[in-house]
Amino acid sequence: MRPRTSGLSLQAAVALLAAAVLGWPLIFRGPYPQHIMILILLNALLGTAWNILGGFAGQISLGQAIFFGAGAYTSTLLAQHAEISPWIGLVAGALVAIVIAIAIGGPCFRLSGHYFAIATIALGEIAAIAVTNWDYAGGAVGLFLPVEGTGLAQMKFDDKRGYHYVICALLVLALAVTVWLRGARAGYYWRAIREDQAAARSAGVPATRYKLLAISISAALTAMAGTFYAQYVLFIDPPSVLPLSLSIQICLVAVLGGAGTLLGPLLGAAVLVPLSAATSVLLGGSGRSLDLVVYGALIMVIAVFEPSGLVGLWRRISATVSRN
Amino acid sequence: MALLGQYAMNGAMLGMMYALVAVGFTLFFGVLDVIQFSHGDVVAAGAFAGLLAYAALSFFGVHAPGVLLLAVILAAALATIVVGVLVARFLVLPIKGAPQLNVLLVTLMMGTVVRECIRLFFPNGSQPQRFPALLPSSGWNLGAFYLRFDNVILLTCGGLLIAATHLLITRTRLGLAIRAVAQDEETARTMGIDFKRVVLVTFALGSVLAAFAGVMDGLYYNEVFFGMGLLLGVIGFAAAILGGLGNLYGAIVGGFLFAALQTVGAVALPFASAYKDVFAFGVVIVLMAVRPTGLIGERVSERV
Amino acid sequence: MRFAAVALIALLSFAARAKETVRIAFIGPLTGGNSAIGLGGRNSADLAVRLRNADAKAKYTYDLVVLDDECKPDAGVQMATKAGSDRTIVGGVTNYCSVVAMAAVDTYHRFGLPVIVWGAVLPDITYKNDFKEVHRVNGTMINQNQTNAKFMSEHGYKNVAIIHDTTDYGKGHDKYFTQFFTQSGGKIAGDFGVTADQQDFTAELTQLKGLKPDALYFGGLTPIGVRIRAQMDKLGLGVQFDGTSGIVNDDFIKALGPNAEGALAFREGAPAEKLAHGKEFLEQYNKQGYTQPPEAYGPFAYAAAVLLMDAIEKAGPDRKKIIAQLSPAHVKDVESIVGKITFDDHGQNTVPVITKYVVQDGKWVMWEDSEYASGKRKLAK
Repeated sequence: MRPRTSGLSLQAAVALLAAAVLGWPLIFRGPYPQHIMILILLNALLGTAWNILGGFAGQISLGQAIFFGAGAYTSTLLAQHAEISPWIGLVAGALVAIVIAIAIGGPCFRLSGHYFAIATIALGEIAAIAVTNWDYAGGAVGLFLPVEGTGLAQMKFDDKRGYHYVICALLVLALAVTVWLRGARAGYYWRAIREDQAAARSAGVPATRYKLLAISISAALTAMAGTFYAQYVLFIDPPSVLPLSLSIQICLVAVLGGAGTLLGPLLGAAVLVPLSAATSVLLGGSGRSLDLVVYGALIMVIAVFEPSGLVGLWRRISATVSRN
Repeated sequence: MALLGQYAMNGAMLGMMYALVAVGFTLFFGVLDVIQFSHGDVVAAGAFAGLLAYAALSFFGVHAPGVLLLAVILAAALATIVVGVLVARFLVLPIKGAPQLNVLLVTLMMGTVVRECIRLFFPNGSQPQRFPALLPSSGWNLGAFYLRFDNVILLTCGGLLIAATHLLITRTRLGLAIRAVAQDEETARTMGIDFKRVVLVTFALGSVLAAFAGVMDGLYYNEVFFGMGLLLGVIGFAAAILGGLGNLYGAIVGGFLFAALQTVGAVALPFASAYKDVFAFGVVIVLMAVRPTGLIGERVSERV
Repeated sequence: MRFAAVALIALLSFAARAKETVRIAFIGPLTGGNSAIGLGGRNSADLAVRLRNADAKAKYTYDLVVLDDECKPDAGVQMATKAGSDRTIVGGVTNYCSVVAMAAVDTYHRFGLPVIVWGAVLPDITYKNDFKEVHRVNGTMINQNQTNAKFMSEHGYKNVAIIHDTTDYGKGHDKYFTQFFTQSGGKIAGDFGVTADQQDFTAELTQLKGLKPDALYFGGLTPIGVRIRAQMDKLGLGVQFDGTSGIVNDDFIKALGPNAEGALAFREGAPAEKLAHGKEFLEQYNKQGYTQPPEAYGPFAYAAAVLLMDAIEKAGPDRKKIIAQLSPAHVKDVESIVGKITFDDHGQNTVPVITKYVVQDGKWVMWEDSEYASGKRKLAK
């Protein structure tokens, strides 16, 4: 009987959590807590997208910023040069990201393990340098979003509540896609590829095609997050949407939460975002900004003592609790 | 012709630094199958430790360049050994069984911590620091080619150091143990080799090479700064991959090849020199796609 | 009865003294790598407000709202939105970092918030758009390079090679120096764009050496400026080093040691002690006991705050009226501690001071005071 009750309590916990997230901006009226929650949801979305490629299909990408930037730049350029709505830009950005993903995946999926990871790092650096020197896209100066007005149609809002619900919707979409694919044939193939690609191939799994599927979905979702970010901040430039540090942050969220699990990236975002905000608020104000040192050290401690991520820690704790 | 000579000299200096860093990556990968991503920042730590030793000795009135140089190198080596061995003992060894990715992320964060510590705790650390010129700065001006003594000395020392590493790996008992561990950890253990000790010694060895790369960087550019290790690390890693991870010669060839690509990208190609890294990394990716195990080949073909 | 009289008198005098409080914003980098200049600017603007509040003749009491843009565009836009959407804030003294100012001008315009830029030098900030809200008291890199190019041709440099970083800052300098130098008959031997975090310049410098220029113009900031100057020495490239405002600081000299000697650079404004009312400014500044010095752009922040408050005194605390009061018709030859201020159609001060500097014995010295100008020492050829 125990699995049934723990399943129920899990469902209850998830429902409670969802209610808390939805009600958050109604309870906390200040812009700062609302901002933090939006960042958590944004990072959860990015981690979830990474997880499809890195967690389920086992292809470690350290170049997700390329897709994030593709989304941010595509929608912004469309809005600036053709006054196209960011909602269409969102879809266009996702399509551009898919094209880039396939262009990357084609040659790079011949590589495995570290080689794929280093290739994505190098590609990320290439993308950042290229955009920095690309005058049509604003070069190193960056781009400002034209603001014609606010409201849902513009994906721009006067207060943070609107942004909160848009990012909630995008996150739900990403989770739904994950749940659906995890249970479908793709999910089984991905796991087979992750465990042993050669064996999967010999068992008849079309590995390359399914890896391309994984990177395309991951890229599309990441690009949507990029479009959202552009509407939220209203300014983009290479250091803010294309840096290596963003790619690493995305990977950290998913891996520390628990790669290859549905809730891992959410847990990772819920812990890492407040951690980074707290260290920079508590320590950054003193002028010596120890925040990165403390942040880095904490991440090392978590990773060394709980290699399977926070989800693993959670399971161990809940197992201990239910045993007692 | 003189111009070509100058380019070759510039490229050789860069290539030597990259090679020294790449050898570290390749050694660590050999014994533990891990990527030590803070290795670039270990280089920076070495350079700054050397700078501290210089400042301390100058403060006490020591001005003989030879003594200062020796102190700088010793301090740098000591600092990198400490950092390298600590990383191996407390970060990499404990999570040996965990996914590769965890090691990568942990060492990445370690790099951030080292970098930020230099920035925060070195006096005025967020600005570039002057590194003293301790080698004779004279040279011959052969038209467009300015051949300097210090560059020749640095290149020679770097070459000797790599040769010494080679001899150590191939001709000594310690080298035999390292190679045995690299081949197969279990067999090495049953042969009575102290696995942990070999790993720590290997990390110390790789880090000493990094110390020399750091001091060489400082003496060559006369300037060091806290973030110098970031790009050096990525390039060193790319160079190691280019030659084939785990392969000593591959790392050396990869280092010089990457420097050559950068020089060609900056000089011979019809686009702005800002794109030289784009070009070099682009070629690395293409080469990797064509030869997934590196130019010379990975240590063993166990990775399918 | 006596009590009531006392109360009445107290009330009356209170009414006489109690002026309407008007809020103005200060936006600048208070944390991060540019915080020293940001804090100096904030203190200077604060000084202007304190002095005005101590002045019995002022119609209003001023309240300075200090916002940190971190020298990051996204933070800058957020702060601009904060100031713009707060209707009690009627104007601003804003931005030192060019990228941030560029990102924020659109927001100021959208909210109709009149601002006076106190430090950012990119010309586009005032010239790219026709925003009536945006003004600037300091000069742009256009003025700086005009002076620089003129100086170089006058001192016999005919063939100059350029290295610049590829940010807006470096590109802008490259463009304007090239324009003015070729206008005055000079030749550009070669032009190299480099990334702002590049470490090795030997390839570019070797190529450049082959072009045989008689000077090297560098458009960028201290870190790569230091590297380029040091590596020139390594390659035996002994030509004159000519820089921009981005390298006029002690770190440049500290990092280079003796190699810095003879480097030239140009900057908007003049050292506070050389300004017409600079001594007074420094005296008042020191009296307030601020912990940070005003730095190079403090006087501009002070002048911008004074100009804004003068406009509010005349027009009243209303954004639209303040904008009208800051139009070229009203701001013409206005006396300030940074010299006369005259706004053109774009709200740009057209008579900015540019100071020439040269490194002499480990210090940035004004050209006119240097041994190089007196002929005792010679620039490199």
